[in-house]
Amino acid sequence: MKNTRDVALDVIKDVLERFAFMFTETEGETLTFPAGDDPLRATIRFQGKVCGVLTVVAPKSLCQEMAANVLGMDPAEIGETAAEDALKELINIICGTLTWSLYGEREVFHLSVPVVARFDVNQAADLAIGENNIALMIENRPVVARLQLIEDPHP
Amino acid sequence: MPYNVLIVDDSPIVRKVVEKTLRLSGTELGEVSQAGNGREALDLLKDLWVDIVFADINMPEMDGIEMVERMWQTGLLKTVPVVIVSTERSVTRIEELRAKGVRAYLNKPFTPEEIKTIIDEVLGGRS
Repeated sequence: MKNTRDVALDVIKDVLERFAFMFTETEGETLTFPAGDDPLRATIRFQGKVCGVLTVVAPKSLCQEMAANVLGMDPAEIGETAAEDALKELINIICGTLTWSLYGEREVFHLSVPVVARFDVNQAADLAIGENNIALMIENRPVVARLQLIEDPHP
Repeated sequence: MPYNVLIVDDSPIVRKVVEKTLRLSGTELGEVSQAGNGREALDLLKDLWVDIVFADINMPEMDGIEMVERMWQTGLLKTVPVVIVSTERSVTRIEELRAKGVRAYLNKPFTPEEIKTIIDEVLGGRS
C-alpha cells in the first residue's frame, strides 16, 4: 500500500499530464530555482475528515507555459496574471484529486480558494525537507510540493 | 440550433478552457456568457436566456452550491439546467448536489468527449 507521499506524487504527476500536458523528467530531494525566473507559490487549504494545506512552488516561466498549454496559445502571449491563474487551477485540481485518492470517494472535503504569491527563494531549503515534500523536474525546471496534514482536528 | 451557455468560475483560465472544450467537442455555441462567482451569475440570469450553466463549486462571494440553492428557490433551476464542474470528487458531494437539482457533474480536468456526453445527457443531444 502506498504511503501519503507516494500517492501525492502520483496525483501531481497525473494532473500535470492531464491538465497541463507536462511530463515529469526526474524526481529528487534537492532543488535549485533558476536565477531570474521568479518562483510563484500557491497554497490551498482543505477541511474534512482530515485538515491540511497543500503548497506548490514553480517558476513563473513554467506557469506561463502551463497556461499556454491549457489555452492552446504561445507562452509569449501569457501574462503574469494568467500564469498565476494556471498555477491556482493546478493546485485546485491536485488538491481535489489528492483528497479523494487518500481518503476515498465518500469523504467530503471543503477546499479553500487557492492563493498565489511570489516565493522567496531563501525559503527553498525549508521546502526541501520533510517526508511529505516532493521535488520534481518538469521541462528542466523545478517544481516543489508540500503536503501538511492535521490529523483528528476534533479529537 | 446553437446553445447559449453561461460559464461560472472565478478562474478566467477555466472559463476559457470550458468554452474551448465545448467548441472542440463539436457543440454548436450561440452566446457564451461568463461570471466570476455565483452572485454575478444570478445577476446575469435576470436578463439573459441560457440553455445551460456550467458552474464551479469553490468561488469567492457566492459559491456554486449557494447559487444552485438560490436558483432552486426562485424556480429558475426548473428551466435552466446546471452542470457542476469541479475538482471535488466525493460521491457524497455529487449525490447532495443532484438532490439539490444539479443535472450533471463534471470533474476537472475533462475532455471534449466528456463534456459532449454531458451536453447530450442534459440537453437531449440537439448538438
